[in-house]
Amino acid sequence: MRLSIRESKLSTKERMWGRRMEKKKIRGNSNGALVMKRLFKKKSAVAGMVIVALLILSAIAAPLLTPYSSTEIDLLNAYATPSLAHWCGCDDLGRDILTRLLYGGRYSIAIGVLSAALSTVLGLTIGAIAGFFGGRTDMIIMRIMDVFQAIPSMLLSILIAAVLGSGFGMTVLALGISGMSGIVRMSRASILSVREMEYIEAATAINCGTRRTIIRHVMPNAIAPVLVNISNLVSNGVLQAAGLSYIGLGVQPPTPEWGAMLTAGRNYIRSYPHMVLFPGIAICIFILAFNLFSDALRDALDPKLKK
Amino acid sequence: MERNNNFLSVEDLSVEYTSEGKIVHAVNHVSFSLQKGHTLGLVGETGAGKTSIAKAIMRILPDFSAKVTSGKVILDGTDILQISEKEMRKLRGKNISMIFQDPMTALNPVMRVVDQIAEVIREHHKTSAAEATAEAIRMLKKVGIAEDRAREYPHQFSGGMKQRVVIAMALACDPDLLLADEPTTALDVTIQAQVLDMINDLKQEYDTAMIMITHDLGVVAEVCDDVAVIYAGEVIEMGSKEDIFDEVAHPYTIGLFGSLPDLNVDVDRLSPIEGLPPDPTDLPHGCKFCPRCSYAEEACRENEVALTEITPGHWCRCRKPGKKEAPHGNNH
Amino acid sequence: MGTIIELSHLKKYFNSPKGKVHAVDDVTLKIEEGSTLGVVGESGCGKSTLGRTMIHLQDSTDGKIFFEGEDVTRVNKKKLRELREKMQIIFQDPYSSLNPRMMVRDVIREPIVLAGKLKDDEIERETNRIMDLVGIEQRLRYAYPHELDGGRRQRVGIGRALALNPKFIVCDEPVSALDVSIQAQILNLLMDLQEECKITYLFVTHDLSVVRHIATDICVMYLGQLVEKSPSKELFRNSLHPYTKALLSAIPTIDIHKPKQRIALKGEITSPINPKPGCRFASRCPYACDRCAEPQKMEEVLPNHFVSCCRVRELNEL
Repeated sequence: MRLSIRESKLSTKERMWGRRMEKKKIRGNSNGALVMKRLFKKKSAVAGMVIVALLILSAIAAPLLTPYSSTEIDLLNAYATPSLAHWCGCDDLGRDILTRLLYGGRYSIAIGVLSAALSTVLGLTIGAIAGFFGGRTDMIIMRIMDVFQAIPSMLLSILIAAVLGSGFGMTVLALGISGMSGIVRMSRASILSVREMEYIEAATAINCGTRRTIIRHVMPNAIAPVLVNISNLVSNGVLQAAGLSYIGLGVQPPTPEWGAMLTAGRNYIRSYPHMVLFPGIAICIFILAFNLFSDALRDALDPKLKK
Repeated sequence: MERNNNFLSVEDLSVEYTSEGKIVHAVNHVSFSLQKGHTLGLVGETGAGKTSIAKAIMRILPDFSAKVTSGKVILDGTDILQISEKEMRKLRGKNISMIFQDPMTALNPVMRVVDQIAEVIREHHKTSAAEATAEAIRMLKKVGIAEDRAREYPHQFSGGMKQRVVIAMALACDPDLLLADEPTTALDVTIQAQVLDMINDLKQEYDTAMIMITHDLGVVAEVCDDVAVIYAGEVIEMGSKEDIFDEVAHPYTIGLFGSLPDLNVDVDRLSPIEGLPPDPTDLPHGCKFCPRCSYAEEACRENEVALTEITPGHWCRCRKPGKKEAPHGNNH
Repeated sequence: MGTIIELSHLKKYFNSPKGKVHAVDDVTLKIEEGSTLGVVGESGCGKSTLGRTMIHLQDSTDGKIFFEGEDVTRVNKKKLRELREKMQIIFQDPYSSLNPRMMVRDVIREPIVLAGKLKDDEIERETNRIMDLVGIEQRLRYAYPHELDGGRRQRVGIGRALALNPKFIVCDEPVSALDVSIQAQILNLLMDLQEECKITYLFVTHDLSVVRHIATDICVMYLGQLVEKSPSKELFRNSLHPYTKALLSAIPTIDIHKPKQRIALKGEITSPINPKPGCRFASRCPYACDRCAEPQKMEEVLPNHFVSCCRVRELNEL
């Protein structure tokens, strides 16, 4: 058989892939190495990853990076504007804002990431059940989710936090549950569309069990649109945690937390803008970097995109 | 093919797309012409560039990725690639209409079909709403849709009826040139037969010039007067229907006929064309078909092959055009 | 050669908001081992549902299915697994029938792995054998479906169906999404495989010229019911049912010199929801009469040639 141009080109690429795959003995679907390679090829992804990593590292290493304490009140320096000693200035109680940002990252990033992870795990599981089994199961689950979505998410987290109590763990739980219904809806829709595909029918025809069908055929194809939403959840988590702190249900003062700092500085925005500016910038940078990373991750997970 | 009484002539048309930094040569120096009241069939496989040709004539290629790199499209004496977008908008619908493969994408789902046609009429003619509606109903009757159904919405129609609505819409302003892009591919055979018969009748009534884009040689045999076979963005064979169906000359066209199971003849095996159409980002040197051609020689790979007139009006892009029998020799 | 599969009064109804959709209504037929039965009809006539119900991808509403002489209409899970290994399906759309995140090799080996009969190295060997059989080059084993053209993708789908050495394959419009030249390659492949592996096909299509080429027998379906069944050549030479005649006359042929005598059908296909008991084609039939409102019976009008039409004898002067 004659080879056309396209075939021979494909063949070089495939041969390279093939060899690499054989060497690493990567089996089946778990082509993790390939995903990583594609991820590292993209500049924005690398930038996003580096920034997120730096923020996390600096939060962990905060005591080594700053001479100040995050909670100690120093009224002499109250409202101090940025200077060499206090790079980002001080707040109304004279605490160094940079120090509080570094320590605050521990709580803010953790709340954002953990609550998003919780929403995703809960949402994907429930959405998968609703979408794959359909019928009555689907109806009951979706009506419950309707109730969840009818309540504004802030109000919902307030309700949950009011019932469960305040503090770090409870904040994560409250935000995780309130973010869940969106993921349920999205993963259900995505699964419904994948379920219609003929390869799912083909899986039935070759005796592929329900669980294997969901794991091997449905989920890998349904998950990508949901993944994009996770970055939204993380950013929402950070902001909502701030709101909760503001009304006293989130992380309790004097624990530093970006959102709480933002709300605390709100009263002084006209006279001392640096008190909201720097926490705002911190939230922005984190969310931007995280979005860059998650967009790139989605692309890397999609085998259809060539580059 | 006389030059002077041609109503439409496309000369040296080339279209390129840019995709992921690569240049896709979709249409390469295509020339053909068409007389009033005649139908030209553009035949070819998926990705051969048929639709790009039609879109270039309509000037509806996507701005951001496609570019007409050379050529003229002369409609009734004017090069429509040179006129302004505003003038072009006047031509579209009134002088040139297009029928798309999927009727659903061409119809607005929240508008009654009669109003959609009336809207097209009012856009190009200064008439009252009532007159336009009356005209729309007349058009719908012409394509076999009764007045009592005219006020329904597209989703209340079956596929065949939707396609008829689209055709009525395309013909509403009595266009001089109708571009039909696989108009019956989505339809069942019996419905396709109805639609093809209707197109044939309307064409005679209105004396419209038509370009019929299709991959189905059977459809070509039913409605076309002239045929141009497109391969890798080039016209590789062109002539009257009789030239192509009786005196087929290019190995690719011969291959197409050989691939077709014939209703009247028994064959044990079909003779497909081996291999695949070339990658349009990286076309082979010389004759574009030579990697798949069983008659290819060194000279075919080295030099570009020109479209030459082998008998009056029958053009073929092959160094050795001829009556090579289709490998199983069963065509007629 | 015996009968491999037999349907007796098979029915498949779907519930819809407007009523019961009679997708397959009282279909009785037999397929001989090693032969190809073509099922022809227009979209929505239930031909795909018929194929899927036969191989238990969908449950039948009523009627019986016999496979190799055994009643398999209602089977337990274990039996169903065994049955599915013997009956496979090839899908129409090579783009939606392959999981975009699975490599060619995995698509083909998955059924073998799931069957659980072979050891790792045997699975590997078997996968390679299947790839050779359906003509996929070994270098493509790690390619993803979107990197292949339509014809190759369809070969992968055929490979998946063949992996378990089935006896019976339902081909659901396997070539209608492909270009003519590729279509011919796939049809040839299917015919070679049939000869080599002794497979029986049910070939579902709307394309009469394709079915004439590949099928030994043809049945014509209209709104869930068979209207005519006969050996392939006989049907094209001597079609008896008015619908088959209209269908045959509607195909555009490449013969430009033969004058067309098209039988024009009026109207559109009627809805398959809660149909009336009589002949379903009557509303479009040029020869409809009062008797057509009564239920029609499939009769052997000529040897091996079955027609379901009360006027068939008078219309064809038999």
